[in-house]
Amino acid sequence: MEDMQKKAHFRNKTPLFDEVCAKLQKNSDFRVRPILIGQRFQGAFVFLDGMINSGQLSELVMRSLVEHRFEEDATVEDLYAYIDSGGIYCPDQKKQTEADVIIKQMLTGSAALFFDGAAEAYTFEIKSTFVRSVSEPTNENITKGGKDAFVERWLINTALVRSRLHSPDIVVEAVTVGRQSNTNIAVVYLQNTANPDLVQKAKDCLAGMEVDSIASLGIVEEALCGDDNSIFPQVTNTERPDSFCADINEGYIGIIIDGFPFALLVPGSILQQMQAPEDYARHPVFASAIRVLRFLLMGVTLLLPGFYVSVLSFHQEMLPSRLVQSIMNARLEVPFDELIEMVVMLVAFEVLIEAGLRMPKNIGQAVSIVGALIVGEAAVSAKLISPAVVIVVAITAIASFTLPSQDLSNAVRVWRFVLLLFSGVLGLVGLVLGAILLTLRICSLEVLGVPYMAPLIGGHTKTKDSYFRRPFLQDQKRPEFLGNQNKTRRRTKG
Amino acid sequence: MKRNTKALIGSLFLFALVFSVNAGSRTNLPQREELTRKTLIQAIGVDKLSDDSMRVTFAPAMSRDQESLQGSTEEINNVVVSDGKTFFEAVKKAQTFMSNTVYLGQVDLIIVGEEAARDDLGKYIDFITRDQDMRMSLHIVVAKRATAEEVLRCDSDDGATSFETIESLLLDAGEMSYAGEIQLRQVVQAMEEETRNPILPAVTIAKKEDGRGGPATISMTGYGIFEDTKLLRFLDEDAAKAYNLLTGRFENSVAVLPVEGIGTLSAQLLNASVDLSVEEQDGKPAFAFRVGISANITERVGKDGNAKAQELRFTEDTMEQLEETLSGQLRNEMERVIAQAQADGVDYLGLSDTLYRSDPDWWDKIKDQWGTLYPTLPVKVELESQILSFYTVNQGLGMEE
Repeated sequence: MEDMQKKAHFRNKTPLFDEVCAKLQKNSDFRVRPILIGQRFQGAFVFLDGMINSGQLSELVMRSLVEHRFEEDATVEDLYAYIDSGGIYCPDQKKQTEADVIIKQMLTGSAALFFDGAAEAYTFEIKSTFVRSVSEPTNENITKGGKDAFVERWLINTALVRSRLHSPDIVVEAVTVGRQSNTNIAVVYLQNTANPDLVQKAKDCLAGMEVDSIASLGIVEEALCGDDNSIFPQVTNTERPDSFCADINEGYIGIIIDGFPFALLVPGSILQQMQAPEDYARHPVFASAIRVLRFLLMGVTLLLPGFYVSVLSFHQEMLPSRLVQSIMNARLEVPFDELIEMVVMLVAFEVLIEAGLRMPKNIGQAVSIVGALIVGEAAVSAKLISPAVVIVVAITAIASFTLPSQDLSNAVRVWRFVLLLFSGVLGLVGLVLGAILLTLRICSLEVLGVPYMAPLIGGHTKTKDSYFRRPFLQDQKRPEFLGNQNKTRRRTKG
Repeated sequence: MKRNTKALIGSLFLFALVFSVNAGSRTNLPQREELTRKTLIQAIGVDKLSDDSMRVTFAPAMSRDQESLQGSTEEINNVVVSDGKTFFEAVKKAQTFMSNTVYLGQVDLIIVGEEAARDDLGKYIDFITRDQDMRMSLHIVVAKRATAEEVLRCDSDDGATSFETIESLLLDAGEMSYAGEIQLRQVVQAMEEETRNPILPAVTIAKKEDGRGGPATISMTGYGIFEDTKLLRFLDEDAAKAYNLLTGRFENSVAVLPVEGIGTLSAQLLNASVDLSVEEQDGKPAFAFRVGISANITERVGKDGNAKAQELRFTEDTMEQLEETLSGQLRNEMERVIAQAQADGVDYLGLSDTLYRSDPDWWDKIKDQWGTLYPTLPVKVELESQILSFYTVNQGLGMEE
């Protein structure tokens, strides 16, 4: 501490400087750089090495201070006046009087300038440029669409949004969340379109977050969901600025979080989770057909294992004779009953998925080969499982991969097990009972007061973008269930 | 405690309760049954024994694991026979010498022996319709001049089981319209409705007549006609074809037409339609069948016995002559069937049903006298046949002007 203060060469006591130094002194990346301003005033720059752009500090800030010539009788007030009048080449400078605020600014990429004996300091935002460049989306690739994706810096992300929506109505309101992380979260919406109640609710949810840091997107998602911690994703996330802008234009509220290459959209709905960005780049007829197929496949991946166990264990009369005979022959030497067999296979499938995620990319394929081919084939040959179960699980898995939302897919995976257990106990009666419970559950969900199943429930019958996608020219209204101020997306000329 | 947590705990408790109760088999909820512990039965034959008891013949599905059947003392050719005073008793008795559970949910065919059918079809059908596992879409046939057990034991030349043979015959029954498939639900429906009587396709065991011997074969041969639930008579193949025409069950068939000056022609019959109407005539209902049918001339055998189809030129007169011959032949068959039905006093052509549906009040008034009225009712057949094509190379699209 003594060494650092000596480096500052302050003759007079400077409590603000001392306080900041005291709080940061243990950090190895903490730097104090003395400076003689205009050959007259003793000062010191304080910053965290790596957080700021040192080139900009020396070229834009220090040079304009060192090389400026002050009058012989210039006082510190004249120095302040020089800085306040824009003498420093820095777009974002602030006069500070509190050590905590100064430290907060330093932690987000500012350098602080202290003066000998002064009770004020200046902070200059000259963030380091270690930013990943805008690259292609990794999860939401489409053939006909933008090739840019969000990055980790929130201001770059807001810029990506503004580069698509050149509207004065777009509002980017930032809130800082996290006692330790001080993460910037931007709430993005169209002020003349979005429902102000929804905007306020979203902001309230974010402001009410009492967390130390935003370590993952899930923390924000949970905050937006409130107390209702359903496994179904109530917040949509996207890495595509074009999808984000399209939804903002519809009246959804966007959330951009510093540090994450994803943006969130609220209120989420199951239909939104079932729509892929590609849908809007395809012909409406084809897009609608694919959407319907996607819904059918969601039913398949959710119900097929339970249906298989129900029919095989309780309702064999439902199956065609030849099919039941074929399955029976294949099962003759299998020691487990259908339920155990199916549970084991589904768990094995989950293990494969989890292992594939955790393994490095270059050996990830080996997991699939070992798991699917070697173990699967060996298990069938050893009569531990029947081929029919392998086929059912394979169909279930492939169908689950067609869901556009990974979060929705995860929810379906959990409910698949629930329905399987119900089916294993009560057969088709159990499957139907489970399906009713599931329907009741998702129908009772609300996100920021908007039904999760909207527009399928709530009497929003005019929506033309649900199971089917109508041509854009026929779809003139924004989603009714959002309660937008501006309900019309497009007006017909004349 | 939060509302969601309460709901979750409540759901888990409910699930655990249902699971434990159901696992203890104390409920009427479905119970789990291991598929491999069952013997799937494809076909059942029911016969009446001399002491009024019942014989049930089970034809299990062929599988690699037929050990369960080996214990049966009466098991021959993959058929299991069990006797009992009732159907249920026979099924339960079979259980005593079969290691696997007899499973009737996959039964696709029921064969009723002639004696059993003459005794009382309802007695044998009752158990089947009560069993919740049994499909109402299963086929049911009556054995003619044979027991159901004999039919199920009958070997075929191509190695097919009796069940497979009969299923195949039912599938192809429309090719000649000598019979037609009847499902259990139709039989039950006919037994329940006061204006209808059951009718079942008949199968018989045909001996080889080529002098070379060999195994007997199963063939489809018309219908068995029931009065209430008792077998009354069989319709032969031509009568069955006429019955199918009159009841709208006709699909395809062949007519062989001897035509003067032309020779013998073979006609493919298709596209039949029928309309049964009723009107008052002398205070009594009078019925009229209006049947339409199309035909294609598919073959001609000349007068001298040689095929000379190319030499024949069809004219308008020829057409009319052919159509009249065809209509006459078919009308005769239909009138014969109607006359037989009236003579038997059994309304299997659906006359009373038509009257009931067209005028329920009238039916209510005369239904008590229907038994005496029915044999005397005027029933008219109007048949319109149309030759569509001659299939001749040099006269494909029309006739000679």
